Amino acid sequence: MKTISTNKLKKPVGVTALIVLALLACSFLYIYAFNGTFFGWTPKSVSDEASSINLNTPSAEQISDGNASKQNTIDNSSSKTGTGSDQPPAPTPQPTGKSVVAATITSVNESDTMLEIRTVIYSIQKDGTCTLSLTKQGTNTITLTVGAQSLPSSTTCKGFDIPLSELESGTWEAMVVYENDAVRGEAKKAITIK
Amino acid sequence: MKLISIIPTLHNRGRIAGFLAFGVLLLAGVIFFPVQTFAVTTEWFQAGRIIDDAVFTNKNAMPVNQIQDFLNSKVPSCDTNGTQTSEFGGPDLNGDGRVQRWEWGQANYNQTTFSCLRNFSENGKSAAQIIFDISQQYVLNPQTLIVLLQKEQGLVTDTWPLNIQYRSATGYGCPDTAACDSEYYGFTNQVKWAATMFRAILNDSPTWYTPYELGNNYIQYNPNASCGGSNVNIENRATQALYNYTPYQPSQAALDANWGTVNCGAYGNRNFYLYFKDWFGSTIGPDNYWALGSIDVFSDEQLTKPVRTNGNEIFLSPLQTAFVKVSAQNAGRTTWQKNSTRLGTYSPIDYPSPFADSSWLANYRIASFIQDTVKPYETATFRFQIKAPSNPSFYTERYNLVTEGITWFNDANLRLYVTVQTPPDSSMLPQSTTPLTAGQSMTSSNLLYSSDKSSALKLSSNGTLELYRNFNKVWSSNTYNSGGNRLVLQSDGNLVLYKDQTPVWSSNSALQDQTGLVARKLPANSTMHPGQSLTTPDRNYHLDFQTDGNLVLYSKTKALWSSGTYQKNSAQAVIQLDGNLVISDFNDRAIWSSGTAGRGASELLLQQDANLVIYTTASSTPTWSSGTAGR
Repeated sequence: MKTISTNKLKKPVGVTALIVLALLACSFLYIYAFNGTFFGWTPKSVSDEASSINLNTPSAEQISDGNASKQNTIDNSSSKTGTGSDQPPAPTPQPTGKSVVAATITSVNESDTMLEIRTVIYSIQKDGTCTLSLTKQGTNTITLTVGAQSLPSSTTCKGFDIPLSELESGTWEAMVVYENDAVRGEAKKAITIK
Repeated sequence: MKLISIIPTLHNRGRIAGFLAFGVLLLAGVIFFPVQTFAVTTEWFQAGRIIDDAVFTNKNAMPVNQIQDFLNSKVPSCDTNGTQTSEFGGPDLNGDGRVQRWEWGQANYNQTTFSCLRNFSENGKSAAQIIFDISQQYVLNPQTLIVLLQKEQGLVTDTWPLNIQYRSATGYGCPDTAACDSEYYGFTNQVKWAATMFRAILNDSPTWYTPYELGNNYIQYNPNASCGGSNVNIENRATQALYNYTPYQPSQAALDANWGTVNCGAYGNRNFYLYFKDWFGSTIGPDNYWALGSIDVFSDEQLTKPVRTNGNEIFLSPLQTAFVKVSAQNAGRTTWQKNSTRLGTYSPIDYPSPFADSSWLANYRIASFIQDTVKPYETATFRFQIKAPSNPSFYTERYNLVTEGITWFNDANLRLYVTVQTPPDSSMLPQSTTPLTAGQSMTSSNLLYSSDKSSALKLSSNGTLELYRNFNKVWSSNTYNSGGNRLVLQSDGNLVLYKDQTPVWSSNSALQDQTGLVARKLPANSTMHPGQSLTTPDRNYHLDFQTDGNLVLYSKTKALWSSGTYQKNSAQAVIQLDGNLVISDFNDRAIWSSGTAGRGASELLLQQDANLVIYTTASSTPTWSSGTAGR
């Protein structure tokens, strides 16, 4: 009787242990699947997992996005063969003169010796030139003209690199004008030289 | 009894509860995980670090078959014949009451069949092969190109792509105010142009204009300036390249929408991130990563004379010392310090190299770079020596970067494939490099070696003095069967080959103008070989018998005259005893002459007035000249 009762007492302990182990395993699997890590410790195989290739069928969102790109191409194909994502707006026609395109001075950085100015024109344009005018309080003006290059969904000027030695300290007004036979665009920015 | 009766009750309940809990968890594992685990979001999107260079340029990420498998998986079934219902409407050309895709295609694009990207081919190459080849050529991750094709034209998931989607697959060459430039048409062409642009930005090419630079940039949320934008610190070239493609960042609203659209949104870069992460994993690369720039191997310490190569195979002589220069780009995110990041032997790690030189830190640790520090995107230069083993064989040396005590880097495939050449005969094995000094002689039993063992002067048993470079004969005295058996460097500066006591060849250096130790004259019945020169004492003019076979007279700035025997296998130029200067090939066939035969023994003189003149020895009568006096 005593022997039997002891054996019966051992069984629930074994089952409980099994449940605890299963619970732990599932918890770890859950945490790992969501975070790719076990409480901060990253197993070696995670890097392989991180770069693994997903061979599942595409999600509904992916199919929908792909169709939207296709639609964009179809919409543009009557006048030209457009591209999929984030197409620039058409140049705005003017009552007289050239159509207008938007432009921005994107980057103004000082290297050891140069002031570097970069520009984007939100339109895909062929040829054309970019002219930078740097003016300090309406007195001193530096002018530079460079070429431009079309990119997949914009146009950019060749960078303007101006020797810092030519620039007095103070606030300068930078204006970049892009122009070709059909369009014109300009961008302005105040630049402080220390 | 009571106790006994309770225990089985608890036992049964526990078992039931346990099985229930286990079942629920198992069910959750099976059902819940596949749905939730791989839902990719924009949560970790960083505008300044969309993708790391190391990931963007990992050209080994997928072989061709894996690219094909991936493309297959994204379109399990293609509607090649366009029989599915058209999403774009009619017309119903065959009047069957259904508007099918082929009918819409026929009406709008004169296209009735549709090739999925997985089945597409151009010029006999599959799309997978084209993507792979271009990724290898431009050192880009093929996954980058796959995602680009999807985000620009939806080509990866499209079950019935139109020809116009392939024609402008990556959107190159279509200006807004002009017709598309047909120069850019075609799938291969388009992928190549995209790769060209990406590579130009990665290389910081000075000829490729960029609207954004590394560092601080203002990036709009939309082409419409009123939608706003913000300053973004672009951290790497790959991210810069993506902004060159699509010059907008997603606004917070666009990010919050994940795949959705919002007012003032732009989605190219957001979707690049989402596609990449969902299909191929993390866009963040390792901290310690490098890319091999170039490997150059020289025979001299000044790095001016490349060793002989065939493709990427290097040829060295036994025990030859070679000087190696390696450039390596820091493509990771940590700054390298001179005294901790080094080149070491690799695969297996720290193997003892048979090419270890006394200049190495250890026989498994080669050298550090020459700069003090190398920041991300900067290039490190390693310079070190290798010493070929004495045993002729083919060797593969495998090196990699290591930060001591921390980590080895990615294997950037820095290999030296070295053939240590078998000498043509046993007498060519390295011997003493003791130079000949005045009064000393050399016999056929020994050799004179250059200090790096790459060049050797050999007196062969057939009586010919031969000069070898990397075991290739580059010069000979042409005294075959002369019986010459002793080479003597005389005190008068003449190098003379004797047969016993009889001279059979000499360098003629005792007879010529010794001013400045340069020869300006080719005496009667003597020979010039490719590689030899005459020079005026003032060194203003020199006549070079070039190794391309052309005999050329140069001033300090330009060529004044040439024999026109370029690449005609010229072997020698002889001023014959009949007074004729003749250039002949290796078959002893004359390929040029001065036309002065019959004038008697003559000599060729390079004058200080820039004229090259043949004079008869007896009367100093000029018989020929290059006509370059005073030029």
